Amino acid sequence: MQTESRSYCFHSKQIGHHTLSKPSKNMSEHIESCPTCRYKVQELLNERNTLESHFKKYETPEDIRRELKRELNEVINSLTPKMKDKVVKGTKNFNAGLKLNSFHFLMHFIQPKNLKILFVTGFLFLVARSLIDS
Amino acid sequence: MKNTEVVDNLSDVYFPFSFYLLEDELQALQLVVDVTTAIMIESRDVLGEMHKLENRVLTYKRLYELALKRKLQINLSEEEISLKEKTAFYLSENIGLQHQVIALLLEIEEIELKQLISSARFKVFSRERRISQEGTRAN
Repeated sequence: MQTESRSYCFHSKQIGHHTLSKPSKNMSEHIESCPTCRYKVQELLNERNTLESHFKKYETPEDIRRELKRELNEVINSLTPKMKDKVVKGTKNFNAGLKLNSFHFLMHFIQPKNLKILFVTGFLFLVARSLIDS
Repeated sequence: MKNTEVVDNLSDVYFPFSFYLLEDELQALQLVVDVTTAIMIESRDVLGEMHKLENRVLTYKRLYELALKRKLQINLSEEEISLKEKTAFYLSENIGLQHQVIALLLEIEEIELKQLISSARFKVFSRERRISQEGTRAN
């Protein structure tokens, strides 16, 4: 890469923040020997430092961090169901389901067809038993 | 994510964003608490899965939207940099979110976003220069 005068250098137009994050070997060599490009890089570095200090001003102060953590813990804990509550709720749901299912089972079971089968089975059992006894 | 990690994340990452928007520590604190409550009521999974980009973007979006309402409610004095410009600039320069994502969050076109960032950059640097000049004069 050719070194040019300080007043104007075409390569300085190509220098941006990307040059700082991913410097190429050719460009680095050129920047070292070119005052215009060196000045441009220095400007970019100054800009980056200004931005860093600008955003740093808005970092969480320690007293606010403590207060915020206390309030957030309160909110999160109040809206998160505890394990004990989950178990109680689960047991309640299980019992209610068991009752409902037992009821439905009996309702379906007590039908003329099923009663007939039950009666016939009982009768056959008694006959068989009396035959064995005799 | 455990509750302590969620709280740390909200205090260290989302509070600075709220503070940047409102420039008032107590208002920013309340903003983070209110948005956390709203998100928790909507869905508990969002805060627990902050590694997902969609959840992070949703949180930033909620903070921005509520900050806009707060600013109107409490009649905070209009500053030289608008909330939209601040959001665009902060998320792009400090958080490093992609322009596409920020444009989606602010519901604007990418070209408008670039204009916002550029204008915010100019205003931020003018402000920083002014502050440093005032500091020099005071010394």
